Amino acid sequence: MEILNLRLMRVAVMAAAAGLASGGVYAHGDKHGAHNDKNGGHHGAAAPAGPCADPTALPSLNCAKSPTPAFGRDGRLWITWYSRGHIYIQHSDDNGATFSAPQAVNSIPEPVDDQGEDRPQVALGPRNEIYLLWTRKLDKPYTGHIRFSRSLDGGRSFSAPINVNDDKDVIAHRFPTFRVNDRGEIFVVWVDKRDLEAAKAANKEYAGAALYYGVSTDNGATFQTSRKLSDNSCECCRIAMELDEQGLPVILYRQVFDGGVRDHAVITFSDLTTNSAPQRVSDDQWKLDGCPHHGPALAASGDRQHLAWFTAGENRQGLFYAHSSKDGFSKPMAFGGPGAERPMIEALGDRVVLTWKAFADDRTRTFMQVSDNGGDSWSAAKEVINTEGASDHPLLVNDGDKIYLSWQTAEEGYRLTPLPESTAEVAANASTKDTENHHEHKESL
Amino acid sequence: MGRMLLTLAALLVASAASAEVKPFTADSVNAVQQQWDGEPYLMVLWSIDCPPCHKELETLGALLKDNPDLAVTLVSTDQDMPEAQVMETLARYKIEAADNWRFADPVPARLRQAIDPSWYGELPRSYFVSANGERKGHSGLLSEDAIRGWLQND
Repeated sequence: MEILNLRLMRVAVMAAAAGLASGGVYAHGDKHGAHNDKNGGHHGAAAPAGPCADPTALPSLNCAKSPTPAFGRDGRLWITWYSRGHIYIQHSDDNGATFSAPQAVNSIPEPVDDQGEDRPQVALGPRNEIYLLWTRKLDKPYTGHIRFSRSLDGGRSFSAPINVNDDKDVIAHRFPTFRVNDRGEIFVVWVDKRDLEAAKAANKEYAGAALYYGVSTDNGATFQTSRKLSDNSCECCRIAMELDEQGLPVILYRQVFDGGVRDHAVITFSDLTTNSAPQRVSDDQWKLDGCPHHGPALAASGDRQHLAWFTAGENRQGLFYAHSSKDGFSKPMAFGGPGAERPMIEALGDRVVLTWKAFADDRTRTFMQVSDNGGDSWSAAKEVINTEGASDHPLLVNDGDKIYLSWQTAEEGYRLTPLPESTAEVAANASTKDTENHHEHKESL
Repeated sequence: MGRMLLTLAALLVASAASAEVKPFTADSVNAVQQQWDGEPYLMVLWSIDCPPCHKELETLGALLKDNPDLAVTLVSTDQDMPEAQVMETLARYKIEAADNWRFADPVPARLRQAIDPSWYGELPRSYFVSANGERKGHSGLLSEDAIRGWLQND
């Protein structure tokens, strides 16, 4: 969802409803706009209005669609986002209260995929090298190249972007994600349609796309030849990647199994370039000849992997959680309830946090559940923050000590919210909140 | 017969307005229902960024050519794309004269809730709506046979 355009549209609708010829200044905190939207107004007649709609205004984090954060090993928060052909980066030393001025990464503008499932991302190396990853859109629909840029001088300068995918074909290389381990090795994984194109050319059936992988052992100066991890991945879902105790990738993604069933699989590594076969982790039986646009989430802590995903399968519908154990994976636990979407998960030691969002009582609300025993038991679900207008996927990020909810909303801009550290803290917080907002809580869950 | 007349009227209105794409808001679910006035219809939700949706639009384009009385409402979820791209797509599949709508709410979840709380946004998504307003939802590509079967049964 494009917050910028949506906001613009909303302003136009408000303006139309108010009988104005063109929109006035966009007012933060307006409490009536979203309700008025229902009453119509002329779609597509968006007049320039508000700071985010002004094409001459300086690019701003609060107007970005899908800003994505990461903490460096030194505790500094970095955040990256896209605006009008450029990837921007900023940092914060006070956990998101204030940010450095936005800096453009690419000097030559290029169109970039900038939506919840495929978004520019930042990762920090062991010596606080700054690495950026995004999808450059190409001229044909659904095509792209995986782009990478680095700064080895603390963000003063960035390298010219390079392609991570090793082929130059104008096909889909999209939905990338990446991680950097303590040895500085960079792992990138993405959805790649080269095998689909080859199959098409040979007049053969090929379901979905493929999962490809690139590794850099020279701080991102170059990437090794792209390697295929799996055929028949979902072509429109984000991929989740974390690092295991050896600093090697663990990848959770939506696979197209036999008969067009779009369930999830995990791939692990035994060294930089040796991966396991995909291991199916859910038997939801979601048979769909279509696009879920709803990828999974993964966290790794100790020897345990924590998984969260969405399905509308025959066996399960909604959001589910499971963790790895010596006997495979735990039985999927439902969470979030009806309307819940966009699950995210983060783990720090035995502390695990799940979040999601759901639209209820005319607002989009973020919720969390906390575990302090590695996902064996969980707190009740609690609302974190909510918004009236458009919003991005809620994300989770940790600084090695605390877990934060990172959320971009059209109304309030960017917010980084520290989350409770234990189930006891959630419960203590819940008892006060329940008295205040009992109705809201009940209705929402 | 009723449907044919109604569709004819709808087509005339649509062509008079030269391929209008109406804003789809939370109230539009009822507006669409009223518009078909008790006739069974097919409502298809689609997006430019959904490869199977293009196959479905192509199928519908061919069906509409052969069955101009096909009662179908098309809803694009592409409110974040330029309107021109939506129009271009409709024209490519020759469905610009059909009953076209486009999502128009800053919170798409509000529209999903209004349409069907058990639909999470996967595309394509279709609803077969019977004469008495009963809806049957389907996620994923519809086969031509499924659409023809529904047409014959109703």
